[in-house]
Amino acid sequence: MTVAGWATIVAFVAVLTATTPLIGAYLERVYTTEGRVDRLAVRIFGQAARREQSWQSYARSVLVFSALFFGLLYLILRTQTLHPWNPTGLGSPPWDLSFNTAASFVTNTNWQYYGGETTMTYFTQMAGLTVQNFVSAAVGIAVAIAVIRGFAAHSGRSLGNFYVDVTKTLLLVLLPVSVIGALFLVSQGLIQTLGDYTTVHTLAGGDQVIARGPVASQEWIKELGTNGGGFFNVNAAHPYENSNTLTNFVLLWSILAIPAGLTLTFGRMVGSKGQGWAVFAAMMTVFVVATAIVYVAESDPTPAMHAAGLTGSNMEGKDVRFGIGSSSLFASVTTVASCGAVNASMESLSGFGGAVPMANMMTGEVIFGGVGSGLYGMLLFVLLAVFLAGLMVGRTPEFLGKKIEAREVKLVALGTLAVPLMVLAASALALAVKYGSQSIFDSGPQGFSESIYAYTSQANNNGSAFAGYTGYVQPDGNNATAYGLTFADLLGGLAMLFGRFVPLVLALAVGGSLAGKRVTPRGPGTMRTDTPTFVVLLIGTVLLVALLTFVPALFLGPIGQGLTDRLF
Amino acid sequence: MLAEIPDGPGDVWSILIAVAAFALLFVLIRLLERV
Repeated sequence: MTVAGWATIVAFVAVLTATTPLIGAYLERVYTTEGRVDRLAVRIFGQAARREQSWQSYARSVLVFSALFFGLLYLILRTQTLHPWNPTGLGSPPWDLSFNTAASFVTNTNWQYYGGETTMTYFTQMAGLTVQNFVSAAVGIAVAIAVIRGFAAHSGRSLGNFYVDVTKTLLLVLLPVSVIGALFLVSQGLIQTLGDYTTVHTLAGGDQVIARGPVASQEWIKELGTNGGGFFNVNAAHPYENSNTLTNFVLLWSILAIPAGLTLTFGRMVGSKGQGWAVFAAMMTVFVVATAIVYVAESDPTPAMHAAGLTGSNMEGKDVRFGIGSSSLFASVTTVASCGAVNASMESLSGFGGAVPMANMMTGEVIFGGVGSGLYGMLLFVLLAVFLAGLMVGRTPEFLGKKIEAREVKLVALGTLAVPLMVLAASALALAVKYGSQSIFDSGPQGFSESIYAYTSQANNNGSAFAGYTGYVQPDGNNATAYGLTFADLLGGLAMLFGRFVPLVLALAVGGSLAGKRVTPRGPGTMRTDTPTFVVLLIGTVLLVALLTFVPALFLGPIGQGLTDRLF
Repeated sequence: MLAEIPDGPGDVWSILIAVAAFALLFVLIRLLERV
């Protein structure tokens, strides 16, 4: 551990905290004022953008919108031979990989069984994947705003209009910030070109092909939208994606900027900034502890280093430009958010260092989480915490003046447990059948970790990977001889689709249910939900659900590995 | 067997599975109305 490492982490927390109220206020203004973009949405989507929508109508619009983009992306992937901007003459990826990839990018997961530079044309990267980086992020934010309206409504039924919300998110939030962000990245040395790959002659006398492409524009939205899918196979460890410590710091900030800002948007829209800060505090507390654990764990030598007689920090799989501090921070940021971008190899983390990213995802991606999805996921846990507190003190649970009754508690229970159930079921199936074992690279607890990490990451829409697990084989490094591992591709694709849309629909149902409730004034018996006590209760609720669900799996994988000196 | 499905029939399977997945989500909305 170094002073510089801790200083980077402290500076990051300070900058994120300082920008949160500014972003929160801007987002609130975007969604609570009408202007030219509202009229533009009507011109684009017609009557569908005029009417106020119930939660059912809003949810159906999300599904239709996403299903159409799934089909479009699948078509783009399967027709690569027809594309312009295909400098290396790549063929189309196989059907099963295309299914997995389409599901991945439509659900804001960006799980990648492929290497971008050896599989995707520039056209696919731009018109397929980058477009989805914008669209899937906009869907998540729009749904979060709709759910907030449900919490804030006074005896109403409407959650707003999905088409207007998604248009506003794209035109007033994601696009303008991404233009500025991409230009900043270009100024720092990231590439942005449609030129061919180039060949250089190395000092050793050989030739090396350098992959290039329109990277900077994809890189910024990949982080801002918590998407995470890299242009290159090694993601943000590639100097063309992440050129120096400044870009590393700014990209990390951009991952958490919107998820953090939305907590204050929530506070402002429900008329209680303190409530927004309480949610932010719960998220930030867990994030800081998680980051510190990774940093401490990675600062010690691993069993493999002991065996080799080496001392010092675990630099395996890490870039010397970033060191232990910024690599640990990245591993934590990318997994508390459902981003999944990496600047170091997750598979090379120590046992305990690797347990933290996995545990971060197992909280359901509600510690900041994905853009939008993190907040509406956390609000389900807030209601669960209110309900549990009500049981403990013998009061009718209420939140923001609205009574939490049987219907909301049932929906919350389904919303918080659906994804963990998917993770465990998909992991168990993949580990039990021979088709699943084809994807595992390592043996022992490391192989177990690869498998459960894969389905935890996909079902929670994160997208980061313990590198060994695969669903795609490229013997010659191109699509011509490649084939997908169908079982892993389909199971992962379905985990991503249901992991995204089941909680999303349930959150909208909760928002719709709350929208119709009357607000009762706060009385002397009302339990405060904007106090440090409630923050502790909320953290405890989130961790308890994750621990009760996943502790056995964590012990069989990363913790088991961390408690032994054996090499895996 | 799963790994032997060629691209043509595989595309049909992809579309069918995706349609079925989204259809189930529409069913979920209907079911939640009754909760």
